[in-house]
Amino acid sequence: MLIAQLFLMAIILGLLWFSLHHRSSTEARAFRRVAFLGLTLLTVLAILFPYVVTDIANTFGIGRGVDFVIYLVSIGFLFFSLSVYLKFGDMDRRITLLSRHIALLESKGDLGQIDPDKIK
Amino acid sequence: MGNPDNSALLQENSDTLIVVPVFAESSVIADVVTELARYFPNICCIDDGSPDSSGVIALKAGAQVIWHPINLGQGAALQTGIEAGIGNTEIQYFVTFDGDGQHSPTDALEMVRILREDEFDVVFGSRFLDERTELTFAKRVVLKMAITYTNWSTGLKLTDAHNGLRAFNRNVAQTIQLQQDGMAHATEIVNQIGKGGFRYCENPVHVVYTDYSRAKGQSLWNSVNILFDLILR
Repeated sequence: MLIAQLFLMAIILGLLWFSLHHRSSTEARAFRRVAFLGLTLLTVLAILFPYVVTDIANTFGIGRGVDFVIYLVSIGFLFFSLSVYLKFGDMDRRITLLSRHIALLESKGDLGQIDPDKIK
Repeated sequence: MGNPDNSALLQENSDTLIVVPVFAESSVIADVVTELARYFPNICCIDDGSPDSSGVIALKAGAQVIWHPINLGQGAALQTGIEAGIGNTEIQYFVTFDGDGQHSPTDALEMVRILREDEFDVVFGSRFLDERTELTFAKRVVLKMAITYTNWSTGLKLTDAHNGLRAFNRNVAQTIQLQQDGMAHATEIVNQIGKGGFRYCENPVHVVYTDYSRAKGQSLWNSVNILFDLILR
């Protein structure tokens, strides 16, 4: 069980590091697509050959294939959530810059000008 | 406003911009602006996409108003106000001031006076330097934790975190680039000031907690969000 635990933890930490350091880069995009294709393929294989999953799980020291699949799905979901969170953060940033640009354009000219009526 | 005794003060403070982020403060913003206008001729309210008519009320009360097309958050509003002030070369000093009426214009006045002596680039307002501000126990504990984190992560030594009343000069204004749109900007400002190596000090301020400002103010739970924003971004 220990090997599997280490293996899964390594995947989680690896993905965390990867998504924090390579986000929005070309590699990250390519990685996401490969991961998506790989996951699709694995899902199909797991459906066609359910016992293979158990065999793989056993080699990692996990009893049931279902458990193994649950772990992988959890990791996948964690990774997905994180990348969406970061993506939204980037988008917020861009919206902020755009909105600020609009706000400053609209107010141009009458800002910070001292109104002589106020100094009496 | 119209107080003849303050005309010299108003003249002197014509190089100072008060930046007031405003979000849905229609019931108090007029008073806040009127009070500020007794000492400061340049008040810039940033209406951060308020659903009510806060911006118009501030404008009628004598402030200059910039409207965010959508709600972005207090940090974003401050950054907009600061950038607007940088656009006017006459502005030498900047004060950030909350729109809910919890800050006192005379505290701001004192902080700008300190800046004028040119010993410091930044003056932070602190609730913990005297006994005027009354805080609940829970709030005190959370604020102490926040300042411990801020001091630890920025290397500065301050006694108050997330106090909206600050004053700084043009150099600092040009350095500050707030990327935290939400409330985490308070730590971000301290961080950038630390990195910039600016001279800073603290000045005691009186924060008045009314029922209104308490209702509008930060829920303690928001400290969890702030911490999250600062760490994971």
